[in-house]
Amino acid sequence: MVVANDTLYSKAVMVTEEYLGPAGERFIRRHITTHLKIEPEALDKNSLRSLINWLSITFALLTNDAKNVASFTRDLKLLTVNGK
Amino acid sequence: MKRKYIWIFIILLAIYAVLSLSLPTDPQVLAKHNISQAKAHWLGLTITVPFVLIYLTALFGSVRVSNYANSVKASKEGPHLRKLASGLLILTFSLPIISIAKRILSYIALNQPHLKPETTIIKNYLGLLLAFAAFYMIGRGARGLYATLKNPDLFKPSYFLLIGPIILASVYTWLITAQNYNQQGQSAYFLPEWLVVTTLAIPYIFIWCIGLTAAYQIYKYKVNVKGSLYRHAFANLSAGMVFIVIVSVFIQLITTLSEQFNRLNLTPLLGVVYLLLVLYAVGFGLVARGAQKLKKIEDV
Repeated sequence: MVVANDTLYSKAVMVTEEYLGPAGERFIRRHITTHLKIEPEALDKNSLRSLINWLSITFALLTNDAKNVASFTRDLKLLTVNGK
Repeated sequence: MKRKYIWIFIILLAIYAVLSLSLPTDPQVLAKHNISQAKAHWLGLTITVPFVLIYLTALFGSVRVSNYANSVKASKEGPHLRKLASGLLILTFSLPIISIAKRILSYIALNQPHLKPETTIIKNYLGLLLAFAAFYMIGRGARGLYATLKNPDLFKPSYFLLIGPIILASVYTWLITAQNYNQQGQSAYFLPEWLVVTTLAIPYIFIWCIGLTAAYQIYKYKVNVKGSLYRHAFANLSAGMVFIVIVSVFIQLITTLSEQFNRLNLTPLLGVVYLLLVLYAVGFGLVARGAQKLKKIEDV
């Protein structure tokens, strides 16, 4: 899946890929379509804010490293401040 | 993975078990070790049961990888992971297929001694064919997966790395041709030496080089792939694949030389084969664990 580099979605994908590598985009796309029921490219700051909790909880199911979970959550939250 | 493949595998295992426990052992072997046919069947049971368990472990690992590959088939890694999974499945299915073929062909050779050359040749080339199919798929999968990295290092082996394949080729060719003839001047492979070298030694060395390169590329993929959690999950899969390829090379090396080793009466070698098969099961166990961790990322 080719993602435009300047959307909030693409930035969220980049953040997620730092942790989940090639599975990152599939992970975030799945959660956007399941929980927000919108097209991933339509993601905006408000939608992302409401999704971050879901993403953090799910991410915590994949690792026992609390620092990693906190770092992932923080990186996503930064997007809602600085993201487009 | 389709359920019918699992059933086919279980049927193959059942055939292998029945043949192992019912076909008679070569009387010459019985006389050599001073055991009765009944005792040989009991001994066969102690060999067959662990083998069946190891083969089932291999199936479990392959199925897990196959399921994971199917779950990400639309991704850019998907087609390459599916090739890796296919290679593992061929390797897994080749275990009972080769065992069954060996049992049947040995039985034919026992009852029709004049067919011994044909049965030996079929056994040798069947093993080669299956090894080629499995390693070719694993090699293609590993190469493709490595190419999905954003900035893959160029594969630039140092000249010293060539020493490994050169030693492997030289030692294997020496082993396959040394002690090739018995006192009656009969070849262990029932083929002229030039044909043994060109159609067995060279293809096997080629296959092993494909396998070892694949193991190296899978390891490099694991080291360079993005994503700390993904890398951690992929580590088991990578370690298992590297393990399986290296152990396969050793098993194939020993089994192709088994005719000669039998003549030399090196029974401890059987222990080495068992040890390698246990390591094989460990490799498939690691692969299963890695695939499970990766699948979990796709499921949550």
